[in-house]
Amino acid sequence: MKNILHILCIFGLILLLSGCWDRVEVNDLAIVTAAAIDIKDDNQIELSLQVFIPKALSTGGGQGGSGQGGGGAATLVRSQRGSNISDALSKLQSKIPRKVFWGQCKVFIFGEKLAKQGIQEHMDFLLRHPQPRERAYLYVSKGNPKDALEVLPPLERYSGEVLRELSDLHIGMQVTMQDVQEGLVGVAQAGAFPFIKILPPGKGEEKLQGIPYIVGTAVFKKDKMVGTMSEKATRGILWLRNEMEAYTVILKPEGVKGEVSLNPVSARIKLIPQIRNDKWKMLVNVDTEGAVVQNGTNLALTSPKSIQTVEKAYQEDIKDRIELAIQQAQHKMKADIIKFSKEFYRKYPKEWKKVENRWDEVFPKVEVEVNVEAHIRRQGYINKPGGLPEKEVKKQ
Amino acid sequence: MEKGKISSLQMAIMMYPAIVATAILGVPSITAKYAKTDLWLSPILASFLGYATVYIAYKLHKHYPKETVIQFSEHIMGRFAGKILGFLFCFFYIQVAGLIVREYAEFVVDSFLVNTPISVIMGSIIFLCALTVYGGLEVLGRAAQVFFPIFILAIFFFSIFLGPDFEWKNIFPILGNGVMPPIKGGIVPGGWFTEFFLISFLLPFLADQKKGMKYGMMTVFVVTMTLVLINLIVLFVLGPATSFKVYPLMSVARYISLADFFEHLESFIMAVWIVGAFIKLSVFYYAAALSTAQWLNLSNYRPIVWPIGILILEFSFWSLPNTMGLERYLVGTFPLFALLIQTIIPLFLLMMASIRKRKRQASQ
Amino acid sequence: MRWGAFFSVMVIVALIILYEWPKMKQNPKKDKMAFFTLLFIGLVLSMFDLPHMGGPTAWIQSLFRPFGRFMEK
Repeated sequence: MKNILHILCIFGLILLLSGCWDRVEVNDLAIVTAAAIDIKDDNQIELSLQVFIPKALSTGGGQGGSGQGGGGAATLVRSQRGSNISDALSKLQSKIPRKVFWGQCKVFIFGEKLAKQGIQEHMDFLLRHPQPRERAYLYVSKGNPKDALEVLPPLERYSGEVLRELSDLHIGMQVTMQDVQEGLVGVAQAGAFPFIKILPPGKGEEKLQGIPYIVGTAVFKKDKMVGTMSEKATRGILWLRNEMEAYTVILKPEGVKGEVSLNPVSARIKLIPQIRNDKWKMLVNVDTEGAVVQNGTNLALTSPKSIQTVEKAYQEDIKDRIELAIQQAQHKMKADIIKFSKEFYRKYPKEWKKVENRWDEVFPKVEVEVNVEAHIRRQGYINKPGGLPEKEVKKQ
Repeated sequence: MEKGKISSLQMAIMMYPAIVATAILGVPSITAKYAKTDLWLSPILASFLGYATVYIAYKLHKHYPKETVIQFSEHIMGRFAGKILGFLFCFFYIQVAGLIVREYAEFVVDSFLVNTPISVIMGSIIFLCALTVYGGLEVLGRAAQVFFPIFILAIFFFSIFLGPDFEWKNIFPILGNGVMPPIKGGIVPGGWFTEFFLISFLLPFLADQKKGMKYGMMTVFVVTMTLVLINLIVLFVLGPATSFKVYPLMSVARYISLADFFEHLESFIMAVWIVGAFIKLSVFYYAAALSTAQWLNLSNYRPIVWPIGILILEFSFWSLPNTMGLERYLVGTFPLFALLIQTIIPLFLLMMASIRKRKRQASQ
Repeated sequence: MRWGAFFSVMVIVALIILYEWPKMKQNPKKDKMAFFTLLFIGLVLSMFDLPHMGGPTAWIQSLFRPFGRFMEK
């Protein structure tokens, strides 16, 4: 008898496993896939949420072959104004019949205008709330960030996914919430966000079928945006931050017509800070290897001499890019987005203490020396310029 | 009173989560506040308190091999003063158990069960621990033995999964601001290390008493290494943002992302952590129940296990209106209070005991 | 006075007595005394608004105030 009672008790406990107060069903959740925050003229915040529609997924899945990717959107966008994010969110909740859930939101977009006024207050909400993740990506958009949510990209299911994929490809800067917090509270007091724009839809595509894409970098000093950097300078920053991946370098080797394109395969960047006689200097050592992807010149890359010519051009090109980026960061923006301060702090904590409060003035004066070591390792499947008659190939 | 016997390995396995479980939750953030990038040095400095406490507890145990601190303090100090000391210990362990419950429950409410009343969460864990303590020391030891590998494996995999996200250079500068910051950062973990005095309640029930010291010291070492590892992981991933997080380990756990699909692991980490917290609370609960029973000279501690559960629940609320108040207590009061009760008073007792022994030998 | 907390503690106390009493019939009188005293203390404490009330924890905190100030720096 007692045994039976015990067993019944154990089975009774199973009922408790589901929990009571915090029981959440997936079909009661509005899963946010991307969020945009901007400021309006009346100093009010506009919060826009891109919410996933599960229904669209289940019915739209079957028509994959029908070309246009389905007429029904997989997401809906709702926006609401409020005095801050939490206010806007609570008002927005009344327009969405399901409970807003941030746990899957991997994309947060700030409007350019809001970014210029400061994002600290809004970051507080995102960092304090237990649901948004440290790994979520942050962006700054030109114009109204809501547009970036509303577009219906032809290839991906929703625009938030497009941005996330682009960031994963390291097309532009890849900035997570953790990076931003580190940048804001760390020694650098500066940050960089990928800057996005809407790519207009191609011919024959519907009006909303543009996609957001990364065009450069928004530079932040403290929590305020101070300017943008071009795509070219962004590449230089990516080199410096060791985030270089998939992109092609196009070179014009000296003394020959045409261009050679390379894919950097690996890149190692070392920032070596030096302080000598109160002169702050940063050595940037780049060691990179690349593979030829296109050869538009008449050089046969099998000969050591032509390789040397190309390698030299490669070196120059990387050096130019990095110097351009440093130049822009140091003199135009005066914001330490390349984390020189971190390097100095790590190596010279005592000296750093002295300039900590006036790093703004010191940073532009830091001397930078860029040394690039560039090599070409592979030439692909052909060993001579493709389609060029043998006798026209320059052998040297 | 306690008829069960445990092995010294079991004691080590019980003590490990009893220290580590809450020391990896919020302490790295507190340490980082003082020690900045040197936070991984602080547990090493703090561990000396752990070694000292184990040494003192073991030496006291040598003088009175069959008794716990409640009983032998009466022999050392006399009946009246001994009773006062005994009351201090009873009170201390009930109160600390309350703090542990509160820490545990606030964490659970903060991160997962937002709408659940906190008293329900506290009540359920106390209920579970009460059952374990009621079962006796052997049950507790075996429970720890079952869960210990899970706990260890989780920490191990955790550090591997985070590997790709480590920014090793975050460790520099080492001792950039001198030695003071890591020392100050070591104060709070030091409070946790004094909790090793709990072995005083376990040593009399060891089947292999001679190994007690060895395993005690070993546990201190392993705990130190674990805390250093956790602090390093947190530092490598969060960098200067560490001191801003209330639960740095949780923030880091959420950061795990392998191959784009192996992510959102926090529920798993949470489950494992709860297992650790369960062992920790059970050990403290056991100490509280045993010491109260011995203090009152009861024939058995089992009848008061449930009543003490209620007291623990009440102490978890008492004078602690919010989480900030709890943290203030853990930073500004607990380390010194714990040091006083668990290291300084025992040290004093040890000195008295050896003086007495010498006197006795001289008179013979 | 918080009636909800008080009544739930009362129910728990009743359950504990129901569960424990048959088992401790043979125990010495002292055990029974301690058992009921502790339960009674628990019941009395549940009548107060504990989080916002001074108590041992707050006393210790004020005792260690200088140390607390040192740590806050």
